[in-house]
Amino acid sequence: MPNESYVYELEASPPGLYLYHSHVLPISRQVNRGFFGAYLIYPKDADILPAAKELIFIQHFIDTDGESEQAEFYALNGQADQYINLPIELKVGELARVYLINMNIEFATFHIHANVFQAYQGLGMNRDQIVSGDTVGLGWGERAVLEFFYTKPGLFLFHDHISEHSDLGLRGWFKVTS
Amino acid sequence: MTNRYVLAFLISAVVAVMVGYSVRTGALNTFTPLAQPGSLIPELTSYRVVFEPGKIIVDILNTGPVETSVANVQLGGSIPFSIRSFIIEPEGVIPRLGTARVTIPFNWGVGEPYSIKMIVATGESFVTDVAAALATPSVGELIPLAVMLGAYVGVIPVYLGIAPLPLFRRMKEDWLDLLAAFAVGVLVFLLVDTVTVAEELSSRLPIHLGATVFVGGFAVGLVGLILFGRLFMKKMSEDMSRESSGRGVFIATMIALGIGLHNLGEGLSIGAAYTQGLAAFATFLALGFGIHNLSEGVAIVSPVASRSRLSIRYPLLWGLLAGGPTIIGALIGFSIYTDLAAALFFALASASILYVVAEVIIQLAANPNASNNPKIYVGLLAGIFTMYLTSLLLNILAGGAS
Repeated sequence: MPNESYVYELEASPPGLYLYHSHVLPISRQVNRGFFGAYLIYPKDADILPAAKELIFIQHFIDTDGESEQAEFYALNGQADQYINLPIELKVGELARVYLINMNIEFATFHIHANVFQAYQGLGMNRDQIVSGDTVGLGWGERAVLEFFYTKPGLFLFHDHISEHSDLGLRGWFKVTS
Repeated sequence: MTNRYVLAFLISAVVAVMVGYSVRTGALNTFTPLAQPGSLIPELTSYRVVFEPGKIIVDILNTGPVETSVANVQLGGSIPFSIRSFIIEPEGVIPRLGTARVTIPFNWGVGEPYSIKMIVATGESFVTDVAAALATPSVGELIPLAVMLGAYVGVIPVYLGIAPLPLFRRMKEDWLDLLAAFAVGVLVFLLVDTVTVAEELSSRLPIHLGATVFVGGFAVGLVGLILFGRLFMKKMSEDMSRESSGRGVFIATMIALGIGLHNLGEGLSIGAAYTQGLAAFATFLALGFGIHNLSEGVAIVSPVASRSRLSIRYPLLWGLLAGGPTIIGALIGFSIYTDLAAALFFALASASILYVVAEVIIQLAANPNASNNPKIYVGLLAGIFTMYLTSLLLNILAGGAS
């Protein structure tokens, strides 16, 4: 109820990338206006994950006018085009680890330019299930953990390869410096 | 005596229009917004879209009950919407009834459909659709084109309708009544046509703006015409001593003025059709309106058909008064066509035609010979049917072209 609080207690197992969201009806309205988030359960043996610059990317859509099926924006982490305006800074050779969640109520993809990533699917902690590529597709609520590094400095685009999503804000830059 | 009837009739007409419109749309129900504080939602109306090389310019008006600001601009059309960079002047908050100009750098394509979506800071979105983009012509290119189209549609057909005046004047009295009734038929058709268009256009606007434009335009049009009529009558009474009866001339002039306002609206639609990339459609529209407008010329001269002497300057003036506004309308249609401007002109025209219909009916009814003449019903129906059939022809032509 409004102004009341509730503490959720969870058992931190198994390790992996998780998401939470409001289940107040109508759920789509709550979710499409940003009532969601991510949490991460690291494995006990931290050495499984090599040192990296860690980024959490939640892909989602935003319905601002509540009037139509059509989304006004597609966004990463709450704001359309935010990493176009403020590129994410990386160093040449620095490992980047992206914890990727699709909170869209539709299929979405994630694509990086001029590079190839290693994708760990499922909860992202099973280091045996590796897929390499430059595009990964995720259904509703699906997740992946991506690892990659750049070998040259420059501005590198990343975006949802579904053009409609990209055009409405699901895109950004990695700014790689030496 | 008759003036008092006219006034009473016109006041009732304004009230009827206001009540009718407010009942139909709920627009004038001022209690609703008060009862629902949540209904104070912003509203933006674009009143002009200009296509220039490499950019699209949209002029917007805050028609909502609260101040607002544009947070994001997206462009769609034949392809899905995408976020565009834009410049807004002045920057920041747009106060109530304030205006701003949004410039979108974009290499638009000729003939492409575009939808411009503006999202305000509180999340509501407003879309303006353009059926087909076409570079907005410069004034130098516009004027000759507007004059040509306007002349074909308005001036020439009206003069052609006026031209048989010498023939009309040789007709017997009871046939003249038929002619007068024909004029009433023409005007009644125009009244229904104009009111329908004004209502439709204003219903496309945000509800409060639409109501204001429709009822306001109607009221201003009526009051304006009454005032104009009084001034004109004063001037006419000086001439009356020289000419046998000024009344016919007065009514003919008022008809010409009313039809002129209506033709301003026609000019608007032709100009708008042209700028929306429908050049062929505009040509058919011009042709159809031309045939249609012949009967308007006949309607204008019907009140003076029985007069023995008439200075040539009057028919010349009427033709210009009734046909000339088509040129002005086409110019406006070319440059700033919007539902807002069009709704306003059609509302003004509705009022003026209502006024003229009232005047003509009163004149006809005041003549005991005419009101007992069965020929007036034939004339009335003939007037309505002529207009109906020519407008049907217009629709067929236009439908075939689009």
